[in-house]
Order: sequence, then structure tokens, then C-alpha cells
Amino acid sequence: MSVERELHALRTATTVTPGDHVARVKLVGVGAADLLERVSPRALFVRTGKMSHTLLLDEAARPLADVYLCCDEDDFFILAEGLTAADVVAYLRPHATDLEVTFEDLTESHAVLSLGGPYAWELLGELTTPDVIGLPYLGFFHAEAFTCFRGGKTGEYGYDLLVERDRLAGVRAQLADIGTRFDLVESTLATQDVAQLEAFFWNARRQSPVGLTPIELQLQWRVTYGRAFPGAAALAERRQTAHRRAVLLASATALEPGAPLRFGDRTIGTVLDAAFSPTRGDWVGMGIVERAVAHSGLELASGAAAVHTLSAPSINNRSLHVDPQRHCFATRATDVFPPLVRR
Amino acid sequence: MSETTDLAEMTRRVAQREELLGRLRKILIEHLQLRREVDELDPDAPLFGSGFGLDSLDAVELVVCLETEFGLRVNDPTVLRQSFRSLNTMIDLVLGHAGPA
Amino acid sequence: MRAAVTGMGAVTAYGRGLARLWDGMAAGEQGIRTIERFSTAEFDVRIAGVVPDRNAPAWDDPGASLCIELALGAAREAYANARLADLPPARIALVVGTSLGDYERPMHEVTEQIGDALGAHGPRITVSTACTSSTNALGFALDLLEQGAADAVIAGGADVLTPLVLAGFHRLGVLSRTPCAPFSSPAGTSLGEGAGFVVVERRPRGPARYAVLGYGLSADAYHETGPDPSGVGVARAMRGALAHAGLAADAIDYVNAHGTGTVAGDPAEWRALRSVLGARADKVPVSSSKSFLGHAQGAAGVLELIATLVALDHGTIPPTRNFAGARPNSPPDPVASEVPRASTAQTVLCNSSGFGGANCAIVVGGRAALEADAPAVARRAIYVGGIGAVGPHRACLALEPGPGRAATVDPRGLDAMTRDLTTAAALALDDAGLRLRGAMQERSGLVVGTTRVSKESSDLLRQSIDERGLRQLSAPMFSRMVLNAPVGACAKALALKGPLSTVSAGDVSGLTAIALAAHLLATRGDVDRIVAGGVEEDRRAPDPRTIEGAVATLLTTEPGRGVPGARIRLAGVSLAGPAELAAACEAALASAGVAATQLDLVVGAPVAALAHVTTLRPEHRAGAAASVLGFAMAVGALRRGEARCALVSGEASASASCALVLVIEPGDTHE
Repeated sequence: MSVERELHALRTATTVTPGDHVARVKLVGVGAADLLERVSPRALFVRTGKMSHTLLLDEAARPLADVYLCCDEDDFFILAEGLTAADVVAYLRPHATDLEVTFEDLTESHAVLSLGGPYAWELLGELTTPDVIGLPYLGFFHAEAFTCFRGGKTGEYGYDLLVERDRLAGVRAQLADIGTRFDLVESTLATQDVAQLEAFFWNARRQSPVGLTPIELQLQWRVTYGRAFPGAAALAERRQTAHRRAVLLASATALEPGAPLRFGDRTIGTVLDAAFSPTRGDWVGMGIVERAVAHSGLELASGAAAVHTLSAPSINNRSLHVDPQRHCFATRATDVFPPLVRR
Repeated sequence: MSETTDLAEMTRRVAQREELLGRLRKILIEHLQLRREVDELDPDAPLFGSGFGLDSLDAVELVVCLETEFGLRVNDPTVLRQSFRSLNTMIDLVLGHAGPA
Repeated sequence: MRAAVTGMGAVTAYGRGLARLWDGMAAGEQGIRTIERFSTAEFDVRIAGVVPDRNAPAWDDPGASLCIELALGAAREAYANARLADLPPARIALVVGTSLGDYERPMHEVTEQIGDALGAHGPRITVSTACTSSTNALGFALDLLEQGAADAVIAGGADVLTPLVLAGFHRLGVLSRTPCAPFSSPAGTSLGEGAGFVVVERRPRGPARYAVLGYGLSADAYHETGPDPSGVGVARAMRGALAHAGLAADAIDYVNAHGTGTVAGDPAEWRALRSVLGARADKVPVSSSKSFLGHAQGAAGVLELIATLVALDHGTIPPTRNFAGARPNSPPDPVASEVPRASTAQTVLCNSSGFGGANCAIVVGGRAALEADAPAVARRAIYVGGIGAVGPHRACLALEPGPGRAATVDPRGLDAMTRDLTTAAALALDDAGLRLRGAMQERSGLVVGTTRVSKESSDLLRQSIDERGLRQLSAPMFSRMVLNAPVGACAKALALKGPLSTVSAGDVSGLTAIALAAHLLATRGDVDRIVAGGVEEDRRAPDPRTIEGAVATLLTTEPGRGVPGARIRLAGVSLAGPAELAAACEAALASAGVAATQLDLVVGAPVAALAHVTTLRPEHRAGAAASVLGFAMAVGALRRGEARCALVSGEASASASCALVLVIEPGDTHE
């Protein structure tokens, strides 16, 4: 039941989640931007205080990691999922031999805490300064006790706090104190994974089997074609031949990752990832299916289970409707919001 | 789904969505100056923020495009926020479904 | 005291004249009424604060004469009150703030026509920073006085409500169906129009009751139309105004807010007030005159200032009308009333914010302030840190290729004007070896001269109207119909969050921007560098000598790159009336402490008194960017050791003359 309670908090109030799974690396030196220009599949276009959301690809164009590249003057922070910090450095180093850049693995020195939920902005405002409501999506700033990155993969307001280890207890204590006013709930990675699937947000730790590229995964928005980067050639080739695409699935009965998906009596793909969604009260999943039927609003089957395809996301995130200029946690009961799930 | 008539219905839906996807992609490229090729515009990719990088002014333009292209007048900001998440949610809007089914 | 207000005039939703303005306010009249001048049948919102008893042509011939007529109505009243007829016309400057002007004409021509009609033959400068235009115009008027460019300045603004403006704001969904209720419900603004002018003088020759004490400018660098919700940009402008006035926040006893009534704007402004005034913000009355005048666009700031001063004259402050309970993040005392409230307020803060992220705040004081001395100003030396250019003429500057900082900006949807300006500005920063880190951004400004909006964008707007009708116009293109749109976008792209402005003075627009930027830098403690320049995308009556593209320079108080062991100082600056080029050159040399015999290069129009000096007259000399190209050529000559002391001049036949003196100064280069 704890996943249910945590998800409810994430969808209606606030949560804090330890980000041990988030690899944190800092690139220091004037060569940092040049290095990332070489490896980022997406044109950087970042300035100090801004983040670019992209991927690290292998030579076969398979996404190895889901990364935020965060420009801090000459330096860059990298927050990655799917690879460890050591792996990220190992990935980058061969491209940096002629560049003035050093790699700082922040795993030991820093921790990550993720704040989420429709009122996470207000919680963060109390933790730092009310000015944070001016922090745009994919922006970051240095607060006194941590660096705060605005991202989020669950469809709710989301902030990753990069905290020095020796300040972690202090930040935790402050959060515990302020959090009581925002029904703050400690949440786990397992809950985040369900929430991310509900949001149909690609999960680097669960959804990168060999053979899938950003094209199948609907991640082309994180790629700029025509650039040189690892995997660019394979990706360009795949662009001509791709015949499958990810779709969001829902089913009243359990979905099994790896199970085939049928359209009529024809097998058209497989379930890649699935979880029970307490928010919806049914199962949600990611399927990889033939393009010809990779649409929402269709009835498929998996084994005996009736499966239908949805337009992402599978829930109507409250963060979409909570406006920091008009709403606040204290008035949430009287503010009118649409239901989290439309039937 | 087992009946062949259902299959025909599904096939019809696919064709309908393909057609709308094509028209909406064209709107993004021609009216919102997205410098992308048609096939790059994945149907579930976020339209705003990171994704295709649209912003609130583009949203206003999209409202007009819905009206001029599809004769759809939508004024409810709640419906618009839900429907402007991706090409797929816009297709749902056009087809008369305003959110996740 | 920086400047005394010796005359005022206004044309508002209540009608003509200051007396009518007071009568309307005092009687609790609602100026926001049904629009009758043009058909509003296709819109859901049909009200605005329209000047009564005027009929104007429809949108295809958009009230050209009306804008000037309103402006002249207000300016003549101000002129008469101030008894300016005694002054030599060349000593009377005119600064007009307008968001859209006459729409189709180059912005500066409106100002020139007003100047001719009034007999103001000093420098005529147009400020077009959307809804902060007239506030900013009044701010620059203080600077012109301080520079000695005039003895009196007529400053203010005018804007007309056209069907296009109504359609644009309607499309953006920010209009209220009932007269707007700032800080209250329903959210949404009401448009308006009108003109307001004040006359400011350093040494008043007649009676004066108020003094303009200081102003502040800033950029949100956040969004094309929406405010930074945190209000930090607005707060910077307010702090700048207080610092310029030499006042602590505690001195403020009334705030006339921008208060448009929109969901996004009001809370951001209140957050700014909270951060600037601290606990005092909860006690100070904060009201919005837009609740009865409507939002008069570029003229709003000065009109609201005048409404405030007229109210103070009667021992009152203006109310916020239509108030029916506070929205969250609103001032506790919005002066909720249908009529002015009795008050002894003396020192007032007026604030404006606009499209493109421009903010401008101004501080005005009463009798006590008139007698006080202006705060001492320590003038700082200014150096030329870098230059950058984009366009076919770039070759004549022999610039080294920069690392292309502009690549940090996604060019999606930017028009040519914005791309050129942003690239030129980025190259100027690169040339100076500057990267704007952290707090440096807030101390870095952008002042640009230009005369027309992007043709590319206005064509797309026109096309959207032709294809879909006025109601369905393209909102992104509409947002670019303000002259400062490319400037705000450039500030956002390069994170220039300090003073932001856009000015127009015909062919001398760019040089005027440099002169105004130089004064800001020399006299203000809250800015260390300003990118200044000119940009021109298109001139509809093509002059073969026109430059298309952008040229920018980085001015800085920190010595930058020069020839080895030396640096280039912008030693003298002068602005003068359109027929006063020789006088401008003389004044610039005097302010630089340079004798004409020390000059070894003149770039620009030949001047008889300087006939002995090598004179370079650039082939391309038309357009807003042209005069900056001359400036950049002079910098190049100094860098190459071809000259040690140069004068750059420019004139626009009916706007202004401008001269700048550059000298090589011995010293270490810090780069």
C-alpha cells in the first residue's frame, strides 16, 4: 500500500525521493561545452543556468542514458539515469583527449534529493526563496545549501536538489520541518518508476533493450539530425527502416513485460514495460508495436487480456492545472481541478 | 477484440488518426516554424517546454489553427492544457475526446 | 532634485486636458466604455478606455493622424503650462514614448512631426519599449538634462487603440469583458489609449510643484510577452529608480502600480514590491489607474504618473476601481474605491512593464524634493570593450571571426532582425572576451536603435490576417509588432538583465543608443556594461546606402581590449537637435576635454570646423545601424594605430545630431 500512498502524494501534494540512482558528474574547464557538442545528439543551445534534455547513444544508436546537460558558465553538470557516474565519465573521456576538461564524479561528495508534486514549487519556495516560481522548466540555480535543477519525469513539478553530503542532514531536517505543511511523503524509486510509466516518460533503467533507438521510443525530440555524434550514422539508417513505435497501454488485467501484443489475430508487437497504476486502478505499460497500428484509441490483446492504447500521458496531471500565481497548497481543497483520470 | 467488424473499425480509426497526425504535423511546421521534418514529430512527444519547445504564444496560435483548420472552437483553458500535451492529445481533441480515455 | 515638472498635459479616456482628468477621477467616472470608433462585432470584448469624441479610420489606414493629434493635444497643454515659448527652440528636446506609433510609418517620423508642430528643435528621440515607452521616455529626459543636451525636455507618450491592437490582445486572451479589476476579480486587463506629456527642467523658470527624482530600467530576459513570475526583473527597475533618486525604500508613501489586472502580471509586480519595500509594502497604498483609464499601452506610464500628480494636487491618491475582493498575491491596501482617497503622500513610485520584458520605474517627489539637491553623481570613465557586426558590410570592419556564441540560441522562429541583433551583440561580447557570469548578467544592459519592426514578422502577421481574419491573427507575430521585440529577445538570449531600451532617431538611431547607454554607464552604480548598437531589417523606401543587419558595441566601465598597452575610451558624448551637428561635435569635444587640433580622424558627416582632420564618410550611411558602423570603423582605426583620437558623428535630418569622441588612453589592458 505504500506505493499507493506515495503516488497519491506525488499526484496531489508533494514527495521527496532519494536520487541515488541519478548519476552526477561535473565537467570542469573550457573544453566542457566542446566535448558535449561532440557527444550530445541534440544541438546544445544552452546558456548558463539552462539544461538540455537529451540522451547518450551507443554506436548502434541505442540510448544508454537519459541525461540533463546543465550549463554552469564554462562548466557543465550532468545528471544521468541509465549509466553510473563512472560509466558516464568512461563514455565521455575518449572524446575529450584534445580538450581542456576534467571530470568530477560527484557520487561520493553529493547526494540527490528529488522533490515532486503539484505543490513542489511551493515547498521549494519555503526551502529557498519564493523567487523559485520564476525558475523555468529546464533551468537551475545555486541555492545556499544545494543546486536546484528543475526537470521532472512524472508530469508533475519536479526539482532535483544536488546536495553536498555534509549538508544533507541539514536539508533533510529542514524538509521534514517544512514538509509537514505540504503533506510531504517520502517516496521510493519503485514509486517513481510507476509514476514515470503513468506519464509515459521513457525510463532509461527499464526500457532500453537492444534494438530500440530514439526513433522507436518516440524520443526524436531529444535528437537534432544532421549533427555528428556517437550513433548518428546508425540513427540515420534506422530512420529509413524503422517500422515500430512505442505506445502507451492500459489494461484491466495484469500486463507482462515480454508478452506479445495482438491486433486481431496478428501479433504486432510486445509489452516492454508494465506496472499497476493505483492512480488509475488498472495496469499501464509501454508496448513496442508495428507503426501501422502504433496509434492510441485501439483495442489490442495480450494473452487473454484486453489491452487498449492511450494518448500519453495516462493521467491528467494536476501540476498542469496548478498555477503558482493563483493556487497554493493551503487552498487546494477549495480550488477546482479536473479529475486525475478521465473515464 | 475478436470480431472482424471490430477489426474493420480499428483499421478505420488508424486511418483517421494517421490523416489527422499528418495535418497537425504540417501545422506545426508551417504555422509554428518548427524546423523539423514530418517524421521527426513523434505523436506522443511533448509539444511544450523541452519537447518541440513551443511556448504560450505558440499555444495561442495553435488555438487559431484548430479553429481555422478543423472548425474547432475551444476556449476552456483546462481542456486546452490537457489537449496540447502532444500530437496524440490534439488528435483526441479533434476527434472529440478531450483527455485520456 | 534632478528635474522639476514645470508643465503637464493629458488626453485620456475622460477627454482632453488635466482639468477633465481630475473631474473624471473625482466624480468616479468609468473611462472604460463600449468602443464606438470601430466595429467590435467579431470580438468577445468590446470595451476600452478610448478617447471620447474622436472618429478614426479603420485598420487599413490606422489612425496615423490620430496618434499625432492626441500627442499634440497633450504636448501643447504641457508646453503652454511650462511657458516654453521663452526658450530657444534648439534648447527644447522632445522624447516621445510610443509602443506602436502610427504602425506603418518609421517610428521616429511620428516624433519628428510632433517636434515640428510644437517648435521643439532640440534632440527628438523616440522610445519604443512597449508598455514602458513613456515612462522610459521621461527617464531619458532626465539624462538629456543632465548631459546638457537641452534646457527643457517635453517627454511623454501617445498610443492609439486600433482594431489591430484590440485583436492582438483579444487573441492573447488577456482582456476582461468588464472594466478591469486589478488585484481583484475577474482577472484580465482593459485596453486604452491617450497621450500624456510633462515638461521637465533643471532650473525651472516658472512655478513647479513636483520633481522627478530618478528612474530605473531593467530586463526580465524571460519571455516575449509574459512577465517573470518571480518579479525579480521588476524589482531591479524599482531598486534602480530608488538608487537614482538617492532614496531608501522607506521614503515611498504611495505606489502607482502597472497593475494591468492580468493573472500573470499583478502577482509578479506585487512580489517585486514586497522584495523592494519589505514590510513597508503591506502599509503603502498601491493602486492601479488602469481600472478607470484602461491600459493606454505605451502612453500608460506617463498618463498614470500625471493622474497621480493631478490627484496629489488635490490632496488625494488615485483609487483602484472595480475592486471586489483580493486575488492571492495582492497588495493589502489597493485603495479600493470608486473615487480618489484623501492622502498626504509626497513621494511616489510609478512602475511599468511591457512586452519584451522591459521594466521601468520612476520616483517623483513633492515640494520638499524640489528644494533638495540632486544626489551627487560620480562620473565613471567608459571604455569600448568590443564590437560586433552582422550583414554585408561586416567585411569593412575586418573583424576576426568570433567563436559564434549565438549558437547558444535556438533560432527557431526568430525573425531576421532578432537573429542579426543577437549575433552582433554576441560577437561584441566575444570581441571583448566577456562571458556574462551569474550576477554580471544583472549589471549588463542593452540599448538598441532601430526604426521599424521586422518586415519578415509584419508580413507574416499581415498574411495571417489576410488568410484568417483579424480575430484570428497570429499571436506570435503580433507580439513582434512592438519595436523592442528583437531587443527583448536578444536580452533574453544573451541574459542581459540590466537596463534595456529601444530608441529611434532615424539614421542616427544607433549612435543615439550608444550616447544614451554611455550616460547610463557613466552615472549609475548598478550597471557595469551595456551592449549598444543599431539594427535594421528592411526599409520600405529602399535607399541604396542603407545597411541591413546589425552593428553593436560593448561599452564598459572596465577597461577592455585595445592596442597593446592602451585602451579606447569613450571620452565625450553629445546629443543635439537635428540641425545642430556642428554644435554636437563642439559639445562632444568639450565634454571629452579634447581640442579640435588633437583629433586625427573624423568618421561621419563632414563638419566645416573640422575640415583639417582626415574625414571618413562611410558609403553606407542610411538606416539605424549605419551610424554604429561608423563608430565601429573608428574603433578599428584606433586599434590598428591609424589614429589616436577620433570623432564619430551622425545626423538624421529631422531627429537629432550626435557626436562621440574616442581616444586611445595609455594603460594596462586587463584581458
